[in-house]
Amino acid sequence: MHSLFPKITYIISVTFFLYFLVLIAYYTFLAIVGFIEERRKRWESEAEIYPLVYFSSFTVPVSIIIPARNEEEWIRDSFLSILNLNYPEFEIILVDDNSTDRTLAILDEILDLKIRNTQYIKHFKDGQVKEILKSAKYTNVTVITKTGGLKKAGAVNAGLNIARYGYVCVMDADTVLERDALLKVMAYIEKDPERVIGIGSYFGLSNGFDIKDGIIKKRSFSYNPIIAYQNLEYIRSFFGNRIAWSRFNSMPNVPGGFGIWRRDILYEMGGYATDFTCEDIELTFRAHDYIEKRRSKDYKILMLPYYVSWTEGPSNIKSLLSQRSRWQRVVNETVWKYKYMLCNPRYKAFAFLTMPYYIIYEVLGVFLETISIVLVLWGWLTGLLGLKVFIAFFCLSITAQTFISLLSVFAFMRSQNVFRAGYVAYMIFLAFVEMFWYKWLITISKVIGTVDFLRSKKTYDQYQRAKR
Amino acid sequence: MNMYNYHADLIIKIDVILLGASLLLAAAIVLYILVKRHTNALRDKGLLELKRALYTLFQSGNEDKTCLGTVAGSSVQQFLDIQGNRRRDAVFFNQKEQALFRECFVSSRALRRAEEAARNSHNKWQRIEAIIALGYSGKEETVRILRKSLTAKDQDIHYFTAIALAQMKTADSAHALIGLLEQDHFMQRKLVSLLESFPAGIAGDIIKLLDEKDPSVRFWALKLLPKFKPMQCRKKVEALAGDPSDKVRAAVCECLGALGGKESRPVLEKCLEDETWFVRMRAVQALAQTLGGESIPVILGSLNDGSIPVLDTVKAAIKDNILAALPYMKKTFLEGDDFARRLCLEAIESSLAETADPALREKIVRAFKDIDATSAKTMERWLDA
Repeated sequence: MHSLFPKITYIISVTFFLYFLVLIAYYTFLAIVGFIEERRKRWESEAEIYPLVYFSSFTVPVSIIIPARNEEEWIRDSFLSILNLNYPEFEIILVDDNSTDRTLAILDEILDLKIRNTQYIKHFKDGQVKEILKSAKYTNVTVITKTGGLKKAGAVNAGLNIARYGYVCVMDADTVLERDALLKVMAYIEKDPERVIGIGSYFGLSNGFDIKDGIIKKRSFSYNPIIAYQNLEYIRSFFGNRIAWSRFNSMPNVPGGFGIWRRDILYEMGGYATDFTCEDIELTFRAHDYIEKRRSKDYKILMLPYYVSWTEGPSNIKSLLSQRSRWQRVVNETVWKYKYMLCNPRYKAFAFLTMPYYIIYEVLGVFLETISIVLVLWGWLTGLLGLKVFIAFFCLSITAQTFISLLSVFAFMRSQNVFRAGYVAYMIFLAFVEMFWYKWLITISKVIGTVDFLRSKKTYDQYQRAKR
Repeated sequence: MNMYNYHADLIIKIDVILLGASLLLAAAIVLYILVKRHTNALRDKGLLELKRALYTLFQSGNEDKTCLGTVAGSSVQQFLDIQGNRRRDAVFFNQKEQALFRECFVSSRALRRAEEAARNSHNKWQRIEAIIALGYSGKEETVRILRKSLTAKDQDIHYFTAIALAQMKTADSAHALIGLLEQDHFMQRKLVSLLESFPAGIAGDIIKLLDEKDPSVRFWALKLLPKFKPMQCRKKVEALAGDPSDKVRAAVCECLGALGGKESRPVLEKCLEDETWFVRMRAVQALAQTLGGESIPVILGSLNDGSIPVLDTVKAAIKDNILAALPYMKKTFLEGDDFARRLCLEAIESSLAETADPALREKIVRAFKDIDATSAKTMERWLDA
C-alpha cells in the first residue's frame, strides 16, 4: 500500500503534465487558425460597401426577439439601442417573462403600449401568453407578456410564434447594440443565405460605460479585476477558439446575447428547448445534429470578429460564481445529451475538434485540474515530490495559461481598437497572475456547476444586477 | 521508482520556453499597439493633406498644378479610404470631394497600377482592393477587366467584383450583373439588390429576363421590375400569371400591385382562385393596392379562404379601407359564418383603435350601427373604456 502512493502520484503528475501540453498545443493551433481567419474577416469587412446593404429594399428583414425578466436597470437603454439600429427593415418582439419589477412600465413609457388583436399560433412550447401589446408609436414593435416558468427558452419561443421574417435575432435584455450590428452581420449572411443558418459575433462587457438612451457616450473599461478578467476571458473565448471553430464549421455556441438564426431551421427543429438550464449552447449543438441527420446540404454556423453589442457582466465574486456555475451546468447538460457526436465521422470537425475539447476541457477539466493540483500539492507535502518539481509544475500551469491568453490578446489587438494601451497593459499583467486567484474562482464555480448538474438542478439563477 | 524530482528539468525547460514566448508576445502586443497608432496617424495625416489639396483645387478651378500633383500621386488605399469614407472618424469626405478626387484618380498612374493588380495580383486581398477601386473609378474601359474577374473561381473575388460593377452603374456593368443573375443562384438576391440602384435604362434588359427558362430568374426579374416602373412590360407580366411556378405567380401579383393601374384587375381576380395560398395572399394585397376601396367587394369573397395568412391579408385590406368596406359587410354579418363575422369585427376594431381622428371614428361607428347595432354598442363601450 505504501509503495502505491508514489506510483499514483507519478501517474497523476504525468497526466497533469500531458493534459497541459495537449491543451497548449490545441490552443496554439486554434489561435493560429483564428489569427488567419480574423485577418480574412477584417479584409472582407473593409472591402464590403455597407451603404449598398443599408439602402437596398431587398435587404433581408430581421425579427429581433428580446426575452426580458426583471430588467428595469437595462431595458430602456437596450430597447432604445435597437430602435436606433442602422438597418432598413426589422421588427422587435419583446417578451416580458413575468417581470415583477418596472420592466413593463418602462416599456410602456417608451412605446405607449395598446392591446391588439394579433394572430398568435402556438408552434412552440412557450408557457401561458397573457397579452399581446402593440406600440402606438412604433409600428414594428410588439410586446408579449407571459407567465414565467419556462426560462429564457420559453420566452424566445413565444416571440418565435409571432415572428414574421426569415431571420431571427435573439438577444438579451441587458445588451446594448452597436448601431451597425445587424448591418455587419446580415451583410455577411447575404453573401451566402442558402448555407449560413446561424451566426454570432463578438460582444464585450459594458461595465463602466457611460450609456444614455441607448447610445454609448463613453467607453471607459472597468479596471475592477473581476470585470477585466472577464474581458480577457471573452477575448480568449472569441478570438482564441470560436473564430477558429467557425473556420472549420464546428462552432458549438451561437451566443444567446446576440445570435441570428434562419427561422425555417428553428421551425424545423421545434424552437428552443425549455428543459435545459440555458438555451444557446444546446440549440447550436442540436442544429449541427439536426442538419447532419436530416438534411444533406452544406451548411454554416459562423462567428464573426466584429463588436456588435455590449452586455453587463457580473461585477462581484458572488455574481460571478452564480453565472459561471450556471454556464458549467448547461455545458454538462448539453455535452451529456449529445455525447454520441464525439468522434462520430458524420459530424466532421465538430466531432473531432469541438467535442473532444468540450469533454476533456469543459466537462472533465474541472476534475483533472482539481485532482492533479491537489495530488501534486499532497505529493510535495508528503515528501513524494521534490520542491523543484512542485514549483516547475506550478510554473507550467501559470506560463501555459498566460501564453494562451496572450496569443488571443494579440489576435484581438490586430482586429479591434477599443482598448487604450494602458488597459491592454493591465490585461497583460492580469494574464500573468491569473493562476494565483481568478483561475481558482472559475474552478470553484465549475465544481459547483458540476455538483448542481449531478443533482439535476435546472433553474435559471439570474444574478443580482448592479444598480446603475 | 525515485519520484523525488522526476522530469523536473524537462518541465523547467518548457516553463522557460513558455515564459519567454509569453514575454515576447506581451512585448509584441505593446509594440503592435504603438506601431498601429503611428501608422493610423500617418494615414489620417495623408488624408487630411489630400482634403486640403482638394479644397485648394476647388478654389483654383482645377488649375493648381501642385495640388493636382498631390491628388494624382495618391495610392489605391487612399482612394478607397476617400470613396468609402473608411476613416470617417478622423477625416470625412463629402460627395463633391469624392467626385473631384475620382476625376483626378482616373487619369493617375495609381489607376493603371490598380488595373494591373486587378488582373494579375497573386495576393487575393490586394486584387480585391484593386477591383473595388476600379469599381469606384467608374471608368468604362475597366468593365472588361471586371468581367474577367467575375469568372474567377474564388468566391470572394467573384463577390467583390459584383460589388465593384454595381458601383459603376453603366449599361455594360449592368449587362455583366444580369448575366451573372442567370448563372449564380446563390447570389441572386444580392445581385437584384445591386441592380435596383441602377438607372431606369436597364429595365429593357430586365424585361428580357421574363422569357428565361429558369423560374428563379423570372422570379427575381419580377421582383426587380417595379423599381423601374416600366409600363410597357405589363402585358408580359400578366402573361406569367399562368406560370407553372407558384413563386413566379405570386411575384406577378406583387409586381402588378406595385406597378399600379386598374388594367390588371381581371388577372388579379383570377389569381384569387389560385391553388397556392401565397399566390392568393399576394393577389389580395395587389388588388387592395391597385383598386383601394373598389377592391373590397372582390376581396370579401376570400373570407371563405381556408388559409390564415390569406384571411389576415383580407382583414388588413378591410381595415385599411374601412369606410368603403362597411356597406359590403352587411351581407357577411347577415349570411356569413361565425369566423367571417369575427374577422370583420376584428378589422373594424383595429381600424377604430388605430384612427386618431374622432370624426372618422364617429363615421365608422355610425356606419357599423346600421349593420349590427348590438355589436356596435359593445364595441363603443369597449373603446370608451
